[in-house]
Amino acid sequence: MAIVKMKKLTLIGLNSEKEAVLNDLMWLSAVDVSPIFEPDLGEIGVMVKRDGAVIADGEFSEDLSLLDSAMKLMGTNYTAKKSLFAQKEKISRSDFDDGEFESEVKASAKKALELQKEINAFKSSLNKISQNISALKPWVSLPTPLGRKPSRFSSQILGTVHEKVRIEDIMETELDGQTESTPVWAETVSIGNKVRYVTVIYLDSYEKQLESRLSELNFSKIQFDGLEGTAAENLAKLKLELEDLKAEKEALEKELQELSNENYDKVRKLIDIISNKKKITSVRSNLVTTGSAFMLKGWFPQEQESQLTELLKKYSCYYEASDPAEDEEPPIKLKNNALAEPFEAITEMYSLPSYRGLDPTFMVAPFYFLLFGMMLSDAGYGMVMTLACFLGLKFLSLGKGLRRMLKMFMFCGISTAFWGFMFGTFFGDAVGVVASTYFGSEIALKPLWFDPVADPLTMLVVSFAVGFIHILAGLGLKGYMMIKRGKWLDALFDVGFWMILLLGVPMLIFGGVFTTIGSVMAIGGAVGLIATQGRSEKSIIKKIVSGVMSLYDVTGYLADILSYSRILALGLSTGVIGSVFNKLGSLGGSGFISAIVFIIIFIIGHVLNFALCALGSYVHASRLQFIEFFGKFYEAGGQRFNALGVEGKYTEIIKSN
Amino acid sequence: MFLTNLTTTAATVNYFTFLNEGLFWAFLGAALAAILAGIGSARGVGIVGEAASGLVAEDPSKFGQLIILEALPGTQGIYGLLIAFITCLKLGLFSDSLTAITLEQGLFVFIACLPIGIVGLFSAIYQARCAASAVNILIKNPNDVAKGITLAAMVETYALFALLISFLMVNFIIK
Repeated sequence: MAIVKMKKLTLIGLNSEKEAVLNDLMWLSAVDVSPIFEPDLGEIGVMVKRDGAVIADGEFSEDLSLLDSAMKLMGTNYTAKKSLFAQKEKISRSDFDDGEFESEVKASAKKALELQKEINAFKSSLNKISQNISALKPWVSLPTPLGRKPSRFSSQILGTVHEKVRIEDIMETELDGQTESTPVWAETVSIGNKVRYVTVIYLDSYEKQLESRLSELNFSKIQFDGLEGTAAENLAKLKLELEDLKAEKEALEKELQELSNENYDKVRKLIDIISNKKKITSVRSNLVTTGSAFMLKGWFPQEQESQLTELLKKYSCYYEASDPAEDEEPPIKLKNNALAEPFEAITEMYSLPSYRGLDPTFMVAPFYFLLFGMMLSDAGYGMVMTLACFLGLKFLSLGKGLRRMLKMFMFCGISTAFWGFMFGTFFGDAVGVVASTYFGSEIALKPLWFDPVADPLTMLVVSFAVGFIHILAGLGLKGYMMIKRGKWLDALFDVGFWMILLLGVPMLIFGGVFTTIGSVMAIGGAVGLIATQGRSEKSIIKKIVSGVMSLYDVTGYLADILSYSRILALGLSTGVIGSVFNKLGSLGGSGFISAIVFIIIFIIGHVLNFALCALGSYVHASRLQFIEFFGKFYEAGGQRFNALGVEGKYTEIIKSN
Repeated sequence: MFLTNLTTTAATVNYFTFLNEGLFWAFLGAALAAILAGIGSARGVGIVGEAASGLVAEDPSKFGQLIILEALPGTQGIYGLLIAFITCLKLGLFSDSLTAITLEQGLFVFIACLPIGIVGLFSAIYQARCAASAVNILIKNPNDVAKGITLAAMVETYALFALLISFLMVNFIIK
């Protein structure tokens, strides 16, 4: 339960040691380097300039983009089987200085990209050849060579006309209704796809007339430049060539595949190494420097002070660790025990607390646990959820954020199962339906407490009660913060009186002594509020008016508590929809086939219902925290503590050497 | 009164006697709950789906988060189904014989089904608009998509309240 105490680091060191100091700081992962602005430095501001690291940064970016495209290429050509549950590869600090590894991997990355280029070239020539082959295919049965004149005075042209054009139309002309033959011989070579492939042989002297005749017939000429021999010969040659090229391409592809299998992991490893090195150069733009010295400012957690001083002792540098000044806002790092820590995800989703505020996670955790469980409230869903999250955490290699999320849902699953048994739901009413449909018995899962569908009013009261406690807890935290800041009276006036009033009202319904005590408390609280809520106003009348007006806030508390009726609504929706699917499945009776139908409907239906209701519970349990709970006390607006540190995207980085 | 008038004039033709049946009104209510809320959800899911496919075209890896946004306005239809189911259950549709209810009870059940039908219809569409805007959050700042989901879920509060009141009414009208 806490926001980690931060201290401010000011460090002045020699430029010659800069790289080493930054490197060590990165491996310690304790300092959030903040930018230094020259005007803030006052007099010495004119002596320093911003530390630029542009050139080196550019080099790293170039390497990274090379490696990135190589990684993508290798990823698609990667054939080695990799299990989903594979653990990330581990790398340590010594890997960072392994220049040989770096140049070797870079070389294979380049090689892979070149191979890809070659393969692409092969692909385009293969395309060309296949195009030629398909162009030649219709002419296979043509016995004459393609590129040669049949005789001294005649020529041959090849081309296509529409299928409906007759061969005689080419050879004859019509004059005064009489057909007349011309010195032209045409023959159909083949017919395909409504196109007639024809060869036309003619006397050279007749060329002009033939040309106009052919254009009338929409003849389109086909030329095979540079080809000799018959179409069949050419085709055979091209096919051989195609086979050769294909074989060569396949060899290259195989080479690329082998290269990928061998280097994919190495490339990913190197990407992690280089991106971390790049971090140092980009953090340098936050420093200022003179000719021989540099200055760094940043925040670090107080608990790591001894580690930090230990580290800096090695260098000839001056450093100073100071507490944050009144007007400074240190970055926020939350620290909670193992049970509450996963629920930081909910706090962070809203906003981090301000440094002088309060980390509400220790309260968010139990209430979120409770609310989520009551909303989803199905023993079956809860057990499946806990088990799935547990297995995921155990066997999957996940990022930090996702791990935290899974842990949270694992806890919430336990609560869901608990409330499921309390309310007697196990995959809806599956136990009862299966028992009565297939075994003819009346066994059903009896609720340990009560059944909200049969007794919704009790559930509504329970929901309001939970809301009431949640809101009182929020008010309590508000009071706690005021007391911590020494504002005792404010805490009594703004929180104490409200608590007395709110606690008194529900006691009125119990009757007897409780009603008397309750009315005294309610009236006392109200009088207290009227007397104190206008204390910032000047005139007496204004004081009284704003005091009375403050009682209007009662409607706000009422609305907040009514909002918790969604616990009942969401719980109903899980249980009833689950029962709808069970009912649907069991409509077929008790035969073998209907049992299979039941199982199919059961699985599909409950997966769907679980997905929607879990989403609903997640969102609405969060909402109750954000609006109803945080609204009472939370001071948000902190910046996340973001230490300069090593981080692996594809690998796990081991910090100790 | 209006109904008795209507049915007495119609009595000669005898077409409208079913209007005197409580069960007719009750089932009409159940059907309306499912119909109206279902239309709302179908339209809502459609609205978000349209906004989402633009992003999927650019970045297919966001599909998982988009599905969550698209599912949000889908719940109203489920609430409608829930009330329809509860009503049918109470009317004995799934047992051997239908429950005998009076005309008055039937009309009350009809009225009880209206909140989730009507609020479901509109809230699904408004929620869908909110979720469709949250697609923009996903484009610009993928880490904050949970906030967009929460914003859209605020709209659903009122569908939940309507579900609650419909449920309580149906539950206590037919014992």
